Amino acid sequence: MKVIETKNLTKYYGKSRGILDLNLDVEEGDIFGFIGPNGAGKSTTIRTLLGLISASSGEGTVFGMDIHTETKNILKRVGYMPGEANFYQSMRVRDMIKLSADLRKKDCQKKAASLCDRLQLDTNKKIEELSLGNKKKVSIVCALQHEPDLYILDEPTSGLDPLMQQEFFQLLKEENKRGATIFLSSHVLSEIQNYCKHAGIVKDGKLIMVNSVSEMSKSNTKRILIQGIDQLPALEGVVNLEQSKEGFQFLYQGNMPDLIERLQGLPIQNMNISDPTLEEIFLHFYQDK
Amino acid sequence: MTLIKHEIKANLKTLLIWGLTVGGMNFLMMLIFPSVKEQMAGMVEMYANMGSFSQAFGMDKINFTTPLGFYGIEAGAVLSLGGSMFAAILGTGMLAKEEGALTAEFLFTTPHTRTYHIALKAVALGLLVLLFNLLAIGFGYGSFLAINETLEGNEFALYHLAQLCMHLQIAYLCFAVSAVLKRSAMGLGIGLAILLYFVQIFVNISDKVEFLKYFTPFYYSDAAEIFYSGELQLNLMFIGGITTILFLVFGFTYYRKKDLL
Repeated sequence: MKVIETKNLTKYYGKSRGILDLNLDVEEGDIFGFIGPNGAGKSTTIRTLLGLISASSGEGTVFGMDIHTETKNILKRVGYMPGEANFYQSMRVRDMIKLSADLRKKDCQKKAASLCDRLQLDTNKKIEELSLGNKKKVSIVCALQHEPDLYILDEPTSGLDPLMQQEFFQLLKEENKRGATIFLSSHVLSEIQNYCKHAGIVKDGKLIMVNSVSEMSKSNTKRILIQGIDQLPALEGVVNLEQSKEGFQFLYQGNMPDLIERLQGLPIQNMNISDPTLEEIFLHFYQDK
Repeated sequence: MTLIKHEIKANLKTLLIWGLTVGGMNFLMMLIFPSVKEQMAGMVEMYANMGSFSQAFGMDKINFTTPLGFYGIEAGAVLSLGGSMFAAILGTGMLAKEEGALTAEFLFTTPHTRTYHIALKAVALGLLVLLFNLLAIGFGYGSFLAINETLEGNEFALYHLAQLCMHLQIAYLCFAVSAVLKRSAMGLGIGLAILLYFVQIFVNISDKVEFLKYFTPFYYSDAAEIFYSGELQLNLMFIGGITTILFLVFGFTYYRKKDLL
């Protein structure tokens, strides 16, 4: 079952482009990473799905419900973490978390206490006294305490220290195991690579690639390192060529037999062929397409 | 209900500051009435002959040597202006603060329709204005008890009812205006309240701009008019009510479709 589905979803802010003909499918139980640089359209997509902004054209459904007309019912099943965690400054953390639960008409005290404990969040502090990372923790508790079926998380780990990031992803894994679907946008590609099952790359408001993360890494592109030669023979399909003391490094998109043939007879001391990181794939898409 | 409770709690400090200040000032003013009553008797005729100045503040119609007249002139100005500023500050902030403080993403992703959120905020605004007026009435009533003067209940009640309606009208006008704003514009609200106050003064001074009385709620809530006639100007209040409803409908309609960024 598709939890999120958009068809030609488009949003313009006046004459400025937000997203263009975005076609996105997220299956139930998936952990879907939404990758793109600032201004690519990640937050616009998320806000459109949540009804915070209206699409200029196109369609979208969440749990099969129309994002334009059934926002209330969609939001009942969603836990959302905005990119910037902003709350009412003069409130205490515990009151803020309770307000979030009360607005959902749910008693989440037990779950909230457990989350605060795991995230080491001091609930007696006022929001205005919190660091960015601690505000993010409040945001995590507000998004997770009511145990929704879908998490929509906009750059959720920004501001969290590495230990907390690890704890956060552990929580997400547990929620995913429970059956929840997770849709998260991120700049941190290693997060997507380590925790997501599928990923989509958005560029200039358009979704230019969607695949499983493992398939993305197993693309025809390979990272090649060659040591021991002074000059690289002319080859088609070489991108991001770098020369250093260690040798030549590049991404290779051509045929492997061609590469081996060209390298024959050269004084190669060491050669390494590996799958590129998601970051390299991402940069490749952004530089070439 | 949660949102109403939240808004009242969030604005409690503002309510207490404005309510206690305006109410307290009125109370203190009334405390000096017994000592100035004798001196004021001689000034009534002088004020009555001061032409436009007296007309501007309704002193040509009201006898301020009586406790109620004094209350209407001295305390009335403070309550009218102070209350309208309080209403304007709350009204302009009620919706716009969510975008200004970037809390809209929190509030409007809870499972309720946008209309529900706006309606509850409008109710909270009305309750806050009502609580402010109850404080003012309490201080006003208390001041009459403190100086052992008889309170003419009917005029007092009509005056405070008109004041409540005026404060609500300003609050909801500002609420509707704030629907199109990106952040709370306290200055705009206060400016609007002061502008409407001065419009009433111009109406009092000049017959040529009498038509403006339909545009300012300060006219129908003026103590001088109410104490002079002993009744409310229901036609003006009705027009004010209709205007406010139209503004509110516009505010609701606009905000329901607004992109919250």
